[in-house]
Amino acid sequence: MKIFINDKECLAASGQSLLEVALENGFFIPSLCFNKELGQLAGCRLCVAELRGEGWSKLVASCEYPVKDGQTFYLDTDKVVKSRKMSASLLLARAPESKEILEKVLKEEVEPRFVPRKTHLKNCLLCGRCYRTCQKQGTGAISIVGRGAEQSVETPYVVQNEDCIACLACANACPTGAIEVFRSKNQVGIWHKTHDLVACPVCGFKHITQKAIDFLSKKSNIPAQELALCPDCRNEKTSKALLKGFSQ
Amino acid sequence: MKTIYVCYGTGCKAGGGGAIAKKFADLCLDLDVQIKRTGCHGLCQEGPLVHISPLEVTYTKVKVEDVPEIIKKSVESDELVDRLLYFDFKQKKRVSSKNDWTFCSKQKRVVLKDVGELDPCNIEDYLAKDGYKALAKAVKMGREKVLEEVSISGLRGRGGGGFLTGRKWKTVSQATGELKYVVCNGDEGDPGAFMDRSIMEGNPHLVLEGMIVAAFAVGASKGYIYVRDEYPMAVKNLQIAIDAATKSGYLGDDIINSGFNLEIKIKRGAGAFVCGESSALMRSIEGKVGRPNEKYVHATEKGLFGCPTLLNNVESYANIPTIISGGGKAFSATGTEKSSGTKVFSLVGKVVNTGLIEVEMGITLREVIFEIGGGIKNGRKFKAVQTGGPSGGCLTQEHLDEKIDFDTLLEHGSMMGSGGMIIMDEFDCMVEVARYFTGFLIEESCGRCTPCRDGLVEVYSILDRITKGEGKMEDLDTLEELGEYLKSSALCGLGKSAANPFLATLRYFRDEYVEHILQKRCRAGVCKDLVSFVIDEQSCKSCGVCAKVCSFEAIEVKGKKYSINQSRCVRCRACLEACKFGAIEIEGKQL
Repeated sequence: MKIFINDKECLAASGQSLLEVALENGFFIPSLCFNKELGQLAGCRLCVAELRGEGWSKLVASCEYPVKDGQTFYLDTDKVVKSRKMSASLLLARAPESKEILEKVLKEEVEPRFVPRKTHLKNCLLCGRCYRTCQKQGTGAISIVGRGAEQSVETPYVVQNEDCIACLACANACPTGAIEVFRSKNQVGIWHKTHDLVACPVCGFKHITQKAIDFLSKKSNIPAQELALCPDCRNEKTSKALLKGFSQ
Repeated sequence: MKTIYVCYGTGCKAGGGGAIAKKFADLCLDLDVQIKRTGCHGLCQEGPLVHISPLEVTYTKVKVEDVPEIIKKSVESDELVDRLLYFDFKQKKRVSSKNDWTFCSKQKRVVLKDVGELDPCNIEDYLAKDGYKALAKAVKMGREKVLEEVSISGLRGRGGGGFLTGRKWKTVSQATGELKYVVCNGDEGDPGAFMDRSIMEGNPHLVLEGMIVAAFAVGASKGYIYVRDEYPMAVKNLQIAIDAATKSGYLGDDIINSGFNLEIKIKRGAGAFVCGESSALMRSIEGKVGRPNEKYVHATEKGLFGCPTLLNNVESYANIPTIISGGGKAFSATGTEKSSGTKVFSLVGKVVNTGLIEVEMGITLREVIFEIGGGIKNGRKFKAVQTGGPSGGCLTQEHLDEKIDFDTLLEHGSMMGSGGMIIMDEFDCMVEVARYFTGFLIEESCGRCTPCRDGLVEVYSILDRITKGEGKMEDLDTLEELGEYLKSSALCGLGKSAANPFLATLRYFRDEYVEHILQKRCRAGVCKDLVSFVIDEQSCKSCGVCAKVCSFEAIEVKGKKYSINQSRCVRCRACLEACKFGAIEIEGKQL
């Protein structure tokens, strides 16, 4: 089917979201909570686009809007820009130190408009990438707690959670570095708990928790001793194996 | 044989309705009477109510001690206990039967017809009122004909949106899917609203019958009633009703030998306002967090557990039996052209008569407030009426003669909502009202989308500043901008309509906002930082009531002259409320 984005005719498949079609056709739509692997949350509202019909128009969240044949969308109208700017300045008030990151996402400047607020997780934009990653990989140690303005990403009851394997996937998924990670030679601390690190059997570098090894091994069928290897030693092992293969 | 109806609606129960019913039962053991604990009669503020038929006398504010006298006079013989009769201010006399109260004169009770006249826990009572006859008729009529009748009736969803019920039913009936659901939305969470509660508590079988007819028409085999757990009596009565209906063959397998099966379960909500929103409600039933989804795919196609789902409000279902028995055409003849039928409202706030009312669509606000409601308390001036709860807006003096229907209310920046009606008088500050509702919505927002989660916080902080006298004129533009933003960009209906309270008050009471900002004055005397009270010597009759009610000894008297010591006054308004001569004047902040 065909849809029109900024008057350009674009081919689309049934079930595709506006954001997908737009990206395929070379358009830029800023989005924060959308991620290809995790899907959409339709929460940040930075990706709004204007859907126009005869005599009416409305804003839709392009990450979630399933396009229908013949629809007409505009990405940069006044309505869109106004809404996007407001969303950006509201997010900025929530996480004032994330100005640069927001500007990178939006590819435009964000003016501070409102008084910065104190939130539970400083710098958190509530894009949900962290807990959705955690849930997707099956650990499900963190989620949204609380409601409305008070909501935050946390472990249940804001205490340490046995399900957390300290894999740090959440912290790595966070665009603003809002999740605090404490690291020392022997330990890693995240989500109210300090975990002991297990040493690499080759070099002795401590880099992973036993819980993470167990979880990943069970999930992927990779033997535990393989997972215990630190990234450097694993690289070395792989390259040695490759060399061996070449020399034979 | 006489029947004694003791109101056991929430209000009257709190006032001692249970003990009164028990006393009647204890004292009437040897008498040929029936005692029924019924649902809400409507005039909650006069409760506990006791009605006796066929004498047709209604007693108000009954106490347990009054029971022996009532039995002696009105049960054993046919005399009336005058002192317990309702004093009707309009008619200026005591009126014996509730049917003659001015409060009831302009009402048209369709949904509430039997509420208060039957024991909600007894299916026999419901059957005696032609209960489940509409279901039998519907089964005989066949699916198509039922759908047609509902379409013809023009019934619009009573939950707030006002979507055509017939059209919704048709969409679900045409949706493909082996399993379909019917869901009843009983998650009434607006402050000051108790319409659905009273229906569910007072006549649960009516709601069930509507649901069963709906399930039959759309081809659903499973159903849920979503009730908030703060309504324990509704949950209990509905469960009793479901069990009784199942036992009698109106629910379960092969309903009245038609081959149609339906199972209905109650799902108790944990009291989140946002769970009244359709998609959040369905997620909550599924056992997930009650947060709304984008509704680009309608629930009628893919709703509860991914199946086609028919979701209607309690009151919508409660209208169905009437439509089926009387025909869609007769129903559409009532009300207005585009809003047929009646609507139940809970009338609260500064009116003389507060309670539960049902009126025909198209009645004017003036009739509701000044005739049924009996006007404003203490002879004060009417200022505004908030309809549609926290997501609605307010209407003013100039709208008093507007008709109450879906479109008119929407046109004036408010909405029908589920039917809460809060009346405000000259002593209510509109900025404070907007601030209160915004605060409520912040608490109840799910927090998923930026506009509702963070936008409302900014709105609240601006309103809060204004009530403290720290607002600026630019704030009003920001408010309007945020309002437009919420309307256009929020994810669900709750967020989209969250702007209504402040946009509507800003539209009709801009001068009050400006007064707060520029003159640092709150004319209603509500915003503590912006008022001071003084006693007007001319109007003061030196009665001393103000000094008696003041808990802070701020009212001083020299000879016969009363005055307020501003440094002691905490502006609690006790004197203002107490003074019968209007001698307490509201002034701006004393500098």
